Amino acid sequence: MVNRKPINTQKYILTFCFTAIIFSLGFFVSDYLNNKRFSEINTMKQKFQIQVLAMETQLDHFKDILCADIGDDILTHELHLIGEKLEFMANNLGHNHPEVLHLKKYYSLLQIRHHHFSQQLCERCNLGLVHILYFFANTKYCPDCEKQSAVLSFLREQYPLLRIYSFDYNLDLMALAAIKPLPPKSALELNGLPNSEQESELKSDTKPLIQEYGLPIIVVEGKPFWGFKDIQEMKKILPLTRF
Amino acid sequence: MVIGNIIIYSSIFFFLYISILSLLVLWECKNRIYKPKLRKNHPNVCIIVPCFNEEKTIVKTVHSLLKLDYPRDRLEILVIDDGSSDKTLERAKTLEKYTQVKVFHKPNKGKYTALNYGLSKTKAEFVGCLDADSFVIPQALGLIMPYFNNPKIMACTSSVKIHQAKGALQRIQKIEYIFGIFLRKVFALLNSITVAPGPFTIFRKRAFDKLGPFRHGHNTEDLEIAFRIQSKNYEIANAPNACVYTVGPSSFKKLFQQRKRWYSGLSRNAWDYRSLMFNRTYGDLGFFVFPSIFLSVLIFLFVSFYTIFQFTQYAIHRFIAWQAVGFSLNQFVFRFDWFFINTQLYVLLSILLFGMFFGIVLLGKKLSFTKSRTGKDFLFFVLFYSPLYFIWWLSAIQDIVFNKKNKW
Repeated sequence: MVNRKPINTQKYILTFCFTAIIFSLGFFVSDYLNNKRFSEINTMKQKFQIQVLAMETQLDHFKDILCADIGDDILTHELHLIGEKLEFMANNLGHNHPEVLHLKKYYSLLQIRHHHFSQQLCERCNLGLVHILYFFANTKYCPDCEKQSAVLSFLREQYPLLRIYSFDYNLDLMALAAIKPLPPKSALELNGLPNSEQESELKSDTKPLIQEYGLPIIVVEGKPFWGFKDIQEMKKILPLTRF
Repeated sequence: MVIGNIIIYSSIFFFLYISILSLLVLWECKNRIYKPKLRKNHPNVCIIVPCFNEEKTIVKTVHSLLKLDYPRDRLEILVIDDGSSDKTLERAKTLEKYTQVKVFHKPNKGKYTALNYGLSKTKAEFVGCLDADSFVIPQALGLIMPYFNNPKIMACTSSVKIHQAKGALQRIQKIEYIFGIFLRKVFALLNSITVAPGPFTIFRKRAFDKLGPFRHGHNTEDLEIAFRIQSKNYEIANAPNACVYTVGPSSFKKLFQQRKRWYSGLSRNAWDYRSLMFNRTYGDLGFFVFPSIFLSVLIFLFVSFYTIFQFTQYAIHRFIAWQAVGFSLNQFVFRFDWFFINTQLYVLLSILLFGMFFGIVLLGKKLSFTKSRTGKDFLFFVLFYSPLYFIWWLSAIQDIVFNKKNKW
């Protein structure tokens, strides 16, 4: 029987320090790359804003502009790309990350602006575009939203003239509140609310009603449709003759 | 999500810590990894070869021992046939023409009884064992013996490699064994070896006189004897350049049986010697190595379950999407954009950990002078080892919970 060497505690502490340093370095690298991504989204956002502004100005001030010279294809593509990148950041950092939340609101505003511009352009140049506003929520509030997103992505690939704008129903944004469809009166009546209370109920908090009445909501050319719509149902709703 | 993150990050921290500590230990002791080869004063050594139904390999195994670069009059080879039902005994008898070789036959009672039978038949100062499906390099014994100049050392292990790895399973084992070479050297430097492998470990005969013969040890007598040596505060060394080749199981079933036996044996022996755990009197073994072995398995199982959970969630989401729009290859269109490369902390650290593992395997190769190419083997290892390790451990745990005895 022999005595063992005493434990070299210093070695274990040193290793802990090394590991902690590597962890911290990893954290800084990851944070740096995330910040770089955010700044890329911000640059895209600003570029997009300028482009929309330029086109809106063209549309407003040059009445005799040729419709062939102006289009929303590039803008739509860029908007879609910003959305994809933002979704990626939300999936990685969490949907409640402050920067993600801020950009989500900004992105919603960009969509509203693009929607407005695209509608104007459509009227002016008779482009035949179909505009869809899609209101979703996370899986807890909207179990069917995932399916609905898949259906809409599929349709977007099938029909290039489709313009889809996706909005988080629970996003706290004034501009969004203005375009959010409210549950139809029948829903309120079903809930047994007297007429006088209906308006305040709608204004105060629509979440419980939405949960009951069911997200997703799809607004096609201003007309809201509640609940999940599969491909066939969507095809019935869409003015396919335009495509 | 929060629990998941805690599991993932603490696991990465733990494995990173172990990797850094291992490299630090090796770097610290870089001048005493090897010992100079024995030139004079060769003590008497007896190598016991227990065999049960090893007709295919027994002759080759003994021939490899006969080629050992060690004085003939100092080396004794005892082949103990443990009641084989094939032609093992017949084949072994043909080797008796060599004066160093003696063949014995006994009824089948298990490997440890064969080893003890061999122990009772020798008076050599040092006793080694070699599984009948393993082959040593000629220099192996000469490289091991110098370690015994230190009187505290009771056993010395070698570097076990896979013999002619063919097929996915053997290729996976090849990398695993190379990794094991690195780990065993580090454990030896910390005086914390917990296994004296059947393929070529040499013991000081005095160890058995003091500690008693081999025991059943839940069918893992090599683990039990190592724990017993450690529990009495003796040392086990490792000679990484003393190489021995073993035939790795080539079928899933055989490998599964072997691993179930190893892992349940490890757990049961660890329970028998639990007094070593978290016990500072056992130095690095009690304080760090022994607890880490089980903590790493526990963490691995947690991470595996978490990964399975995440993967199931992902599969459900994909299924929902397919249900809604049908299957389309467009869903898998790959478009490269650096933006979408995941650079979350856990991904960066996992890449680092993977790189460190790769480096450790290369170090294992260097330590044991392995020249063969391992690129393809590494690929198989990366792809399949984790799920296999997960299955082996789950089955071993199941056997322990239901008190099922493992067979050879």
